[in-house]
Amino acid sequence: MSKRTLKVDGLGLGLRPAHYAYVLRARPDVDYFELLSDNYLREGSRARHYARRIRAHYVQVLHGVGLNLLGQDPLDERYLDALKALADEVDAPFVSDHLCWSRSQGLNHHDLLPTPFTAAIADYAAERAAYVQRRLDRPFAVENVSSYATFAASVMDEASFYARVVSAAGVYYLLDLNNVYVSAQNHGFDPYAYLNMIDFSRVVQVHLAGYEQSPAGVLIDTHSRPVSSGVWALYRWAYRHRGPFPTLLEWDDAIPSFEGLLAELAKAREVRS
Amino acid sequence: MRPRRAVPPGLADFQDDFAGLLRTPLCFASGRLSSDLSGCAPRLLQGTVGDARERLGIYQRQYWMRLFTVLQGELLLTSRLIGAFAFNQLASEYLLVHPPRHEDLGELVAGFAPWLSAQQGAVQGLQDAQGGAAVETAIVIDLAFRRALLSPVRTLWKPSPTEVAALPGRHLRLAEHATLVTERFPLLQTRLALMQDPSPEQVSLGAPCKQDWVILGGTTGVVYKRLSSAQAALYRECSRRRLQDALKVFSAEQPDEVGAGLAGQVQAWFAQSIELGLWSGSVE
Repeated sequence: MSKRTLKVDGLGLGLRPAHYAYVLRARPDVDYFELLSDNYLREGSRARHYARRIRAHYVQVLHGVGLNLLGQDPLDERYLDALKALADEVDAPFVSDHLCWSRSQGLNHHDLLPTPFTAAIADYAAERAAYVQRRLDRPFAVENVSSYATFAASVMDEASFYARVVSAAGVYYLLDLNNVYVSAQNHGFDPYAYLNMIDFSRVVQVHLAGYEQSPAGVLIDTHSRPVSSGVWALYRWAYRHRGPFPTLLEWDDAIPSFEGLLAELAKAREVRS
Repeated sequence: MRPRRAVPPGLADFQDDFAGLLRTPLCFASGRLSSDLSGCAPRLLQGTVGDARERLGIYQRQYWMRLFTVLQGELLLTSRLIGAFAFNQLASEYLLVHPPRHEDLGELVAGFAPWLSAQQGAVQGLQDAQGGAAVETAIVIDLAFRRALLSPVRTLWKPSPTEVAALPGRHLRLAEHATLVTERFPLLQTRLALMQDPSPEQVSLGAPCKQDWVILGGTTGVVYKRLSSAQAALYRECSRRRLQDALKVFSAEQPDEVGAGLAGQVQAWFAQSIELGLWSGSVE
């Protein structure tokens, strides 16, 4: 269990390799960094070297994409061993991954893939999430994903499915407001009704990011743009009615300068004041 | 205790159908990449709400474009020499037989690069020997950048006085992060330009010019240094043979006019190689 904690109103950034040198040199005014854990699992790697150096100055939380929580394959114990070692090394206050599947039959699809929403699948995911939390010996949070398709086999809405997994597992929410907004627009549900289903006392962090729109009008979660006005409105509502909570900005493609990231993050402070 | 619940009914079938959809190659026929749902299981199409082809096509396109983007990023120079579209077609052919298994997408390149190397004769526009050899060198340069970027940060090897005394009877071991490259076109400069602006989908070889380089990992990124052909030859010999033998072979290959200045030059090049971190140690 980590002795480190996040400030309850902390503002953080996703740490990317392009930032290492700047962060170590300039020590920017950021409360914490989130590491994409899959990129840091290899002991002795250059990425791990920088994580250790940056840890001396900043709290680091871990966010993964490779857990395959909803997958048909058994959880990968080798992956969990490596994740636990990394979490221990950076003393992460919590670890998170996504409410999705990304692998099947031994093949890695490298995407956050959708699922039908059923009670059986929620309970299956909850058992796996609870196991991961015990295995990592620290809080484990599950993030909602953006989706572009829904399935006739679903018997509940996404928010109910998400809440059932978190509640049954005794784990935590990593609530991505951009993903709520994108899925709400794509599938025509009310994002505010979605937020009303969430127990914010179990939200360890909120994610913000930008999306793009496909030619057919579908919103795609790309992390390549500034946060949209619709997502800022959702954030304002969530922070005023359910806050405070730590907030993290993700930007993975067409990444601006670090100053640009800080300026976008500063908007969060303005929006919620 | 490990999770005990069985996979819920229907989940494995759903995921197998979905994975099958993802792995159906995109269509290249129109000259642009478009989704192709011809191989999609009917029950997945029927079970998707709304415009299934549009919605599922997004996932299929994302799957392939992510893989192409990773391979194009790792083989930045190679992909632009071949041309991005033709490169994607080759990648598609490879990935259909070798879908990703590792969680690190970058690992794909470890299998793809040698496969691509063997395909060079089939690459449209580069069938001639000159173009094929350039693609080979481009792959070496791209992989050198990858090794340099990924290698662990280590302290420089500096031989102790005792090691120095024993060096003539030992081989020098090239550091894991270091690569010696001989190019016959200005490929490294082209790669550096692409790193600044990766938008060109195709680049030309440029005018022939022979140049040796060493590419290695520094504390803050990739370091590359121009070498004279003699300097590069010396380093190569030292990594292949015991030092005393390497020096004999190297000296014998130098033109007579180099003569007396050679010993001093060799000393300077050795000192430079140690400073660069070219060697990780010495072996019997």
